[in-house]
Amino acid sequence: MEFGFNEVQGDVQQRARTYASEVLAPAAARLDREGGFPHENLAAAARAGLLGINVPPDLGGAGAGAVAYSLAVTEMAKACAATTVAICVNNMVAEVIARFGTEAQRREHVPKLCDGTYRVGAFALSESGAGSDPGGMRTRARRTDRGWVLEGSKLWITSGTDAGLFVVWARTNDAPGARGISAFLVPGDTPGLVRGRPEHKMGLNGSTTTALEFHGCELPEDALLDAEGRGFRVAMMALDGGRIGIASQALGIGMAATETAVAHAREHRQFGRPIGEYQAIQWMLADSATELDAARLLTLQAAWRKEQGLAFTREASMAKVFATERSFAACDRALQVLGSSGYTRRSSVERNFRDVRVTMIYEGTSEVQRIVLSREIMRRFGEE
Amino acid sequence: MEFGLGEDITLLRESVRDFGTREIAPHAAAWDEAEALPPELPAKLGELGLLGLCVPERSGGAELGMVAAVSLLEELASFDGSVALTVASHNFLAVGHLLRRADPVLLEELLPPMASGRALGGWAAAEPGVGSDLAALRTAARRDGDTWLLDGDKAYVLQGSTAQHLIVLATADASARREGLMTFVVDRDAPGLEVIERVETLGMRAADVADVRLRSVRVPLSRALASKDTWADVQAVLDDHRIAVAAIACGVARAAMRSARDYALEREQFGHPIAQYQAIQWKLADMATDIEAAWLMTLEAAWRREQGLPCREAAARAKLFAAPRAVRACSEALQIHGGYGYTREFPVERYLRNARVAALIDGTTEMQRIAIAHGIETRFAT
Repeated sequence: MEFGFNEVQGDVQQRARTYASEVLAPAAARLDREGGFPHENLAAAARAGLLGINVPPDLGGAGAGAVAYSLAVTEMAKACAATTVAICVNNMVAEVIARFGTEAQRREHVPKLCDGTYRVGAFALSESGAGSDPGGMRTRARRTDRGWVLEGSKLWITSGTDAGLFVVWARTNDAPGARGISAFLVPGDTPGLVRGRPEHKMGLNGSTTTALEFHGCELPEDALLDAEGRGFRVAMMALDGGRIGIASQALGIGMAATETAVAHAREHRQFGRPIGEYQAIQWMLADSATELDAARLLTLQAAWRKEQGLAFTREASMAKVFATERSFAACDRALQVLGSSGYTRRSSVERNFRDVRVTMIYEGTSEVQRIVLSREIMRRFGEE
Repeated sequence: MEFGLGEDITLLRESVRDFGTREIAPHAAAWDEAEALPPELPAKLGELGLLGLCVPERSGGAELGMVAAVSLLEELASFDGSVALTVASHNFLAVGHLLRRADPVLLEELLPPMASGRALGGWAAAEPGVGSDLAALRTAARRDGDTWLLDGDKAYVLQGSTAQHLIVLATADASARREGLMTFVVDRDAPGLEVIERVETLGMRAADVADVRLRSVRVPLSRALASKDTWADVQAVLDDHRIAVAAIACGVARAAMRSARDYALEREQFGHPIAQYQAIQWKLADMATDIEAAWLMTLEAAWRREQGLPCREAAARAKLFAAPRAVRACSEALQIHGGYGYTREFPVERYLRNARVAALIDGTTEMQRIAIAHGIETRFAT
């Protein structure tokens, strides 16, 4: 048992903290207001070595492990959750290719994801009729004598406006459920790939979310990632790891809001005393601090298990459902502590509140996490 | 970062599990009903090392660190909360206070019988009307020649009617509040020490909770613990016990969760096991997540204690989180059992009653929030 960080983990956390305070924080409010893809932030993240944190160094990554990744994501999300989600997805795309790619695919793509050549990587999994259940997927990849032809459309693609590389899931045969699904590597400049207009969202305005259309996109033979029909396995690994990222992101947002609320409670006076001296306010802050601490431990435990090569599906789901819901509660309490000013755009808490809400939805809704969890619980509980 | 408990602790937990399965599980309901633990139990617990968890080996203890100690308590609590609370309070209130402040001669006398289970320890701090604000306690210590004289009433003393040695908090100068506090070891046979009554409680019924009275109880100078700051001792003792109580809450909740899960897989309604309905799945998913989080917080607090890092806020957080979540998990477990859960045919009603004390003992949930709010000042002020 050891709750302290090793040197590499401490270094990565510090590097992310510096990047967050020097690059992300000054631009976060403007980015939220103006929207659009955060090009400069991504370029700076590449320079800071934050685009491939858990990717082997020989492929251009930092090789720092999943715990360091989680710590870095939390630090970045404190300053700008929108940029952080683009960075998270990029990290996971690089991890997935490093894990499932052929040697040629790894050499071709992973370094470009880590050094920013691709600007950012993206996953294209969801469709209008296939979200939590990939069995309903309709996008198809047809085999030709030169490779594959991709036909169909996708929804909710983070960084869809600017990604230089997509991992796209498509049906390659009619086997029922998830068995007929394969994953493909699709460069952003592939002819026939049409990027949709960014969605207007409640929050995360500094990250773009678009639809994608594939009009007969021709892909070479070696665009296939992992074996044919193994796409679901790739998706599950991306999602399990992604859940740790989103739990870490939510935690960062919740912590940022709570920090703002604590500072406010210390300064803002009513009835002759700082409001932080009233138990009504102390209760809210104590509950937020405690719940965020629990979220931190669940998240780090899931990351640690992943790093050790242990099963971590159950722990990642616990971390995600708990961290996102409790961080939302923390943002809501922070807003309440700030009173009216928390409801205005003068306060970052207003943005925190909008940004954190999506963490209970993407990368598997809270409801899907509970389905995963109950399945795991039925299999085993409390015997270990 | 290393979240594994390691082989040593895992083996120790297995031995507690074997013991619990054989010696506790078959009797826990009867002990609850009888509102007492069998007199032969302490010796058995002592044999396992559970009554001298952090006592040095040369004094007959198991010489474990805090992480190992709470890991065993959690396991024990999954069999019976009353046994676990008895073990926790003996170890972390009574023995813990002695380990901090008793001189070597006194330790040599008291530790071996206490670690073996021949003598249980109790800790008498609260009084009628004095709970969270311990500096206001009124039990008076008056120097009389070469002895001390103690006078006062103590409330909710764990092992109050069975402990061979009571660690008694008293004040030599009530107006000095914290600075006036002193600690004494009072033996069961001391003239003037009487049990007013065994307190009948909602849960943890087999644990011995009693109100006691001290009437001109004479304590030799050698049984007054030497300390420059008794208030700080009390706070540190309570930190340890809070971590232990959080571990107990985790263990009780885990037992409730296990019952509920097994029942849900077995019980059929509308043609399916109720575990197949999301109404039930949701409860189980949330219970498991809460229990896991509570356990991690407990372990982190214990680890900090073991490393010599500040652990006051971590202990408060662990208990603040674990206690209400354990109560909720037990209540949901009862709900999953439906009407059966409300009967004594199933153990869940007992789990719920047992878990409830965790939100009260060693400072209520409300007091933990105050401690944490003070801690936030420093943690979030970066």
